[in-house]
Amino acid sequence: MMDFLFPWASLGLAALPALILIYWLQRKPKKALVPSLMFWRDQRRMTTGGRKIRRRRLPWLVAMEILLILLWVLAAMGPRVASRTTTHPLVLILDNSYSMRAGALNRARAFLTSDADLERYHPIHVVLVDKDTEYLGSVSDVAALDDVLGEWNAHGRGFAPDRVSPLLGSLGLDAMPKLIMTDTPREALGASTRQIAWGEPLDNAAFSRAVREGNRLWLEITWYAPEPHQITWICRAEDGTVLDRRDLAFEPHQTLRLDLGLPDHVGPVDLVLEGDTFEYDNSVTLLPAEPARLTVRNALPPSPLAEFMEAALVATNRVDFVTSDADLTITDEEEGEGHLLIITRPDRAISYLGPFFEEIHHPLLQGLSLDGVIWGAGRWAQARGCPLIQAGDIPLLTESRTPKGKLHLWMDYHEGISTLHKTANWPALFHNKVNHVLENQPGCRTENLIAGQRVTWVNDPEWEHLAVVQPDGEVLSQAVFSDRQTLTFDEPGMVRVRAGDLEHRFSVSVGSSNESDLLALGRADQGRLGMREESLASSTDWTWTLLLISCVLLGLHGLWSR
Amino acid sequence: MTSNSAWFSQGVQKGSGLRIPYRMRSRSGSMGLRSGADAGDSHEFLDYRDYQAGDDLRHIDWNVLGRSDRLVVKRHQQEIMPHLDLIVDGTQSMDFGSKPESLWLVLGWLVGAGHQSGFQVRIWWLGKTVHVLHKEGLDPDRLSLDGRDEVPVVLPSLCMRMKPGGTRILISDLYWQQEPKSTLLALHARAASCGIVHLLTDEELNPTLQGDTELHDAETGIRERVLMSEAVLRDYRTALRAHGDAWHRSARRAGVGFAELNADQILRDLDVRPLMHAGMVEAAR
Repeated sequence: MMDFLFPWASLGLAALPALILIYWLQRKPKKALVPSLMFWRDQRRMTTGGRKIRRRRLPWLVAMEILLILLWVLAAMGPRVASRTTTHPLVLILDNSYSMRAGALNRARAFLTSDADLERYHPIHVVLVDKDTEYLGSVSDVAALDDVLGEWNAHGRGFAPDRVSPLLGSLGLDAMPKLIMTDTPREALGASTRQIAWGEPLDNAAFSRAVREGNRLWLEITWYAPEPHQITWICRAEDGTVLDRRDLAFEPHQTLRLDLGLPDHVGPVDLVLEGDTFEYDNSVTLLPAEPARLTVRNALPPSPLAEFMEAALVATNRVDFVTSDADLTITDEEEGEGHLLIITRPDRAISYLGPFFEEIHHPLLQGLSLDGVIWGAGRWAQARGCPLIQAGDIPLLTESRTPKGKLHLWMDYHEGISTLHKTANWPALFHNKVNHVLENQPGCRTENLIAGQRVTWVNDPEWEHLAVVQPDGEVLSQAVFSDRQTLTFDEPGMVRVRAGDLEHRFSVSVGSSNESDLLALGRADQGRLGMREESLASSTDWTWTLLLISCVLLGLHGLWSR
Repeated sequence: MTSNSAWFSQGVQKGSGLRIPYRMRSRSGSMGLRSGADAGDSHEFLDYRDYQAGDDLRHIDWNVLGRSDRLVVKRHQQEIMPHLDLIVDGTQSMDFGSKPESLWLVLGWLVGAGHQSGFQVRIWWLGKTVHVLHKEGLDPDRLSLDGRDEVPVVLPSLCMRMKPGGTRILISDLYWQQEPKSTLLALHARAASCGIVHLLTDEELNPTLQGDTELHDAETGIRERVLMSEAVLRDYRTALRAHGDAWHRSARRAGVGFAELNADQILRDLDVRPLMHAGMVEAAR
């Protein structure tokens, strides 16, 4: 059925009688024989010799002109052809937890690609669910599922089907029939929902906790089975050298804790369990997580205040004093490339007793309490950034960030009439400062991650993209848009992130007690999958199609009327 | 209505009172029946002269050599056989208005004058095929103006077939785009002298067409529609005039006689003066 957006444009049809009238009123010319058109042809081209006369239009040329007018009028009326299509949509919910790797994943995939009953449904909306939900899009029918199923990799650390409903509600799919592919039978299914569990119970041992600090390892290994069992635990260095090997005897459902020391200067260590069938959670790689250190240059002239500061920084035990190229420079004037702590010591200072206005959410002020503190500062101070501590309208501690991402901390302080450096706030302030600068150094200070864990990555302003090398060697490029971004890695293994001259390694481990307990897995086909018929009304705009046809006709008309 | 034959006969009759001027006959002379002023290869003895390197050995008088030990060569009077080649543009554009009749009238004048002057006259008729005609057996009523090829296309090869040293006169309406020089060069090649008769009718010179007119080209059949106005007609006449002037100018530079004839006027007046003014004919003495 055709509707028109602008029906009044049909007035353009009035041009048709005019065209026909012009055609019929055209007089037939007199015929004259001339010995040659040589000089007449020249006249025809000359504008001064008279107007150019076109040849008499043939009836089919006129018919083409009539057709062109009809097409233009139709196009101007905005024709829309309405149509209705009937669909039988289905929402396919895929359990993406890693327990699916214990056989259920392959069985579920085989079912999806072979089940004839699913062929009735179209389109199929696919949702991937682990601890989060991800809508993978819709495919026209079950035959097109293969492309989407490639993203079903079962790396997740849990299965939270209750999170699906809000997503489906936002997509307008909550009333559609749902098919859940999982490995564990569950009750309380919704209406028109079918759940097929493809799991099988399995005894399993797994690392439920693995932590390394320097040369110390703290491990928790759990045996998920009703029977006692013996597992071999091996610790290897990066070059394959076996550092430790033990046979661990487990009672049913027992968790063993190991506290081990490693030799000095050992790099990454691989921890492996041998003796159970589900291998996905049997290995963990731990990188040496050394505490980050900060280089500091004290450019202040020798003074009691400079000594107080050095003492506070030494107390953090994370600082190395250098004379050049420091991460943090303590100075009394704004110069230098890195982070700066700029001390302005006014000659005519007065003491401020408070109350002090503090930016209490700023990391520099965590743990500080200025009650009873006397702060000596100038009578007037220029605001150079964001004031962190103020006495009335006098900024005492101000922070700014340069375009290159460097932090400048301005401290207006006269130690002679102040008590801050004699309180516990002084070392706390410098401890916070060291941490704050370290947190703003490009890169990341975390090495060992659990799959799915989010880490914050600080970008250098000169970086344009990050290259993330996945455990399987695939390199993904991420554009840098801000000074920091969140990274998440789902696949266990060693991940390398490269940016500029920096390369940082992350060891991603599986580690989840819920998913490693495979005793609850089972097979079941629960619920009933209904069929919902959706009738979608749509309309197609024919304006541009008609204009395109008219352009072709116009070209042909021009060609033939020469 | 007078037939072509009648116009031709009338022309020949009037042409017998005319002659092709002597200067039109020959520039350098060539072998023929008439005695020329220069020495040649005829048997009529003229005089002796000393042998010069390059002289034909057959002309050495061996008797004089035997008698006097002098190498002398005999000089003979040159013989000239003048001929007149009349080239007729037989294309379909010539079959327009009074052009056919006037064509035969002019041909008659020139053939008559040629014979009167002792020329061997040949007519090269450029119709659909090229006919070479002599006065004897010439039937004007059976010849048709049906040629399609433009004269400049066939003229160079045609002139190569003509005897060198002759006089050539082209009769045509000159309806072709090529610039005159190439045609004049072809016409003039190896000829003693040349002339061109430009034949146009009143209707061509001053068309009387009016209003919306579809013009049919007599040669190509192409049709063009033109809205006739004073401006169109004026521009047509200007272009035609420029075309004729270009021919006239080129002909004068090439030493070729050029006569513009109004076909209708010469049929009315039988006036041969335009040809006389162009130096193609003169009154017989």
